[in-house]
Amino acid sequence: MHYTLHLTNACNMSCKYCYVNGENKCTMSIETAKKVVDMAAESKKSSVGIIFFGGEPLLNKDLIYETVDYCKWKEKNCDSLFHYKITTNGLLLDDAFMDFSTKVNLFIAMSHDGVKEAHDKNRVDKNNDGTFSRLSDKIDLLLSNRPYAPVMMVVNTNTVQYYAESVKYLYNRGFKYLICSLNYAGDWDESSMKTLQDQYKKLADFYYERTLAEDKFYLSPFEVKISSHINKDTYCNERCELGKKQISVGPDGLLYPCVQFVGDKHYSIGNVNTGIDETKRQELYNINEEEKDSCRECAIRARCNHYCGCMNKQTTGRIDQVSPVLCAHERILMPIADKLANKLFKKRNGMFIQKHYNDMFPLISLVEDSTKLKK
Amino acid sequence: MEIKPIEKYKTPKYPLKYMVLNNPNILKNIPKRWKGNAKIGIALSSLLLLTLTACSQSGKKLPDEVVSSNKPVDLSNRKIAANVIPGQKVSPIFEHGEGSGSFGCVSVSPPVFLSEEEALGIIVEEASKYGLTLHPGAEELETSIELNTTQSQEEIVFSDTTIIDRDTSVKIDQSNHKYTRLGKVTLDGGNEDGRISFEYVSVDDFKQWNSNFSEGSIFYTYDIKKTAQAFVESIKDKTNQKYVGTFYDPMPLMEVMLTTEDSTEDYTDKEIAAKSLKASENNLREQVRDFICWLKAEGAI
Repeated sequence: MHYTLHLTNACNMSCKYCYVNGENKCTMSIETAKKVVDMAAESKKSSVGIIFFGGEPLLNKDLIYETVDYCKWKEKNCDSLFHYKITTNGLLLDDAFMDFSTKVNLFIAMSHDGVKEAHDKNRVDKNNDGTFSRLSDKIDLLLSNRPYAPVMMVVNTNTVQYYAESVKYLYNRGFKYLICSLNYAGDWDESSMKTLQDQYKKLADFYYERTLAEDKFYLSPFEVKISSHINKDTYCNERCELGKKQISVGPDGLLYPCVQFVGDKHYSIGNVNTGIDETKRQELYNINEEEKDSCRECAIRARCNHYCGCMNKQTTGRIDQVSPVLCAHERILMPIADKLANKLFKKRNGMFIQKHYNDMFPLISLVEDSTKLKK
Repeated sequence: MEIKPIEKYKTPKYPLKYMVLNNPNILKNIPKRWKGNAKIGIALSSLLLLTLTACSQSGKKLPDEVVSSNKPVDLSNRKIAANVIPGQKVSPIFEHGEGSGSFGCVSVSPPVFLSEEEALGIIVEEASKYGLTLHPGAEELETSIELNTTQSQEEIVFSDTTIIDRDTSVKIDQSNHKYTRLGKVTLDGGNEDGRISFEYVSVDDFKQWNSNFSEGSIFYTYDIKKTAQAFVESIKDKTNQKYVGTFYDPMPLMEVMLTTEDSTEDYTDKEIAAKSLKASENNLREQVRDFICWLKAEGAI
């Protein structure tokens, strides 16, 4: 179970595709954060994730330090172990925070859109200036301390032509976990979708070459789609279960089923004082789980991401209405991912087979990396 | 843009995880650099042991049990079940097993196919008995072939953007409803020095090359042998001095076998399937033995 703490809706950037409503600035109090930790501890889950989110969460570093301190204290008196993650735009990363993250094992994910031409189009500061050049040192700082840090990349209609180039750039900078997502709310059309398809083909070539070279990496679009076939019977357990696997907590203490609902009180499923309104949560869950009429007859529906209520809400305004952009994306991506996997399996590529079929791969990979480090 | 449900989608050829766990030999494919790492070796051995134990406890068959080990037979006076064309580096189809069948309607036994994994295991094992070491793993022929398919217009359009490589093209002869695919060929495996390769034409290959095929019909026909023959024709003179053997799923006709051999017995579907698989295995071993004889006759081994 994960609890995502939206520490603030304030940000030091003004990304053009950002969905956060930052008009009325609001910051979470330490009391609210502690109540979330108490709620998490009471859930009696053995492992609980505390995710620091925003706005930009590093605008409130002290709140992060205090919350983690409280979790450490709480662990002594409950059955749960806490682990921590933060998603940041990176501008405020510094040595002190890196030391802290190493000490408490705080997992850091950085948002970055790749090459300068792509990144600076949308990821700008309050003066509308691109942030690419200011992040260069931050990437080095992050990866030298946390080599497994993931990078979160958003592909927009005005940057899609740089998609493959951007992935390669981030990979060459040292990121091995690349989480890429479309801005589904963007103004996609047939032409930009065609460009996207061409980019995925280039990325498939890149994935193929890197896998043949036995590199270890995670490129989310392909990994997720390949997994949706390989783990056919269990894949349904991995998908979004609106409010059941993670709860988002707004700065004001209201609870929501996922990050993109925060601030829309219609979708609130409780608050930190009274806890989760199970009826409301179940109601949303049921709406989300019911097969959408538009997809009932589709041959790839079991492998498709249309179950993500959060994304549906962001793009169509309703959790039970699928975005045509998402549909087009799935139709483009799935055959390319399958063809890529067919080729690698047919080659009996060791890295592909271990990564996708061996549940112990992460552990073995860690053994390998630790051996390398000792040498 | 609008929501467009996909009517039909080809099942990918890479296996599901449970299939691999039932055939843990696949997990022996590891990155090359892991091979000299003792710590990784220990971790992997533990994993394989756990997987094998889990399989045996669950009562599931292991590939080595499925692929029973026969002793090598004397091939010295063997007559090959094929018309050999001298000087051709592409072997003919060695006819052991019907390789075809019609199902639905009055055909009561459902078709039973050898999976690619089972078949590759049999081919590798049988060849090794005669001193030929083959490895599964894609071998690319650096050539284009023409393979006639019966793909529909829609399939071609869909393929143009998705399934077919950028270096693959399609010739469309609409008046004859004939579509010809041109592209590189990836074979199923070969020997160490790359002189000898092989391809196993499975039911999946049949479906891929005959995209109009539908099991949803009341009556449907598989003709894997014919597909294998078309494949052989397509690669003739295009193997770049490589010897290529083509095998096919033998698909024995079980109704015929059971009525002629064991007419007094009643069989469950499961027993029929087991007998069918065993018969397929024997037929495929015969195909490999013919291939060995052919390679010897050609002076390749």
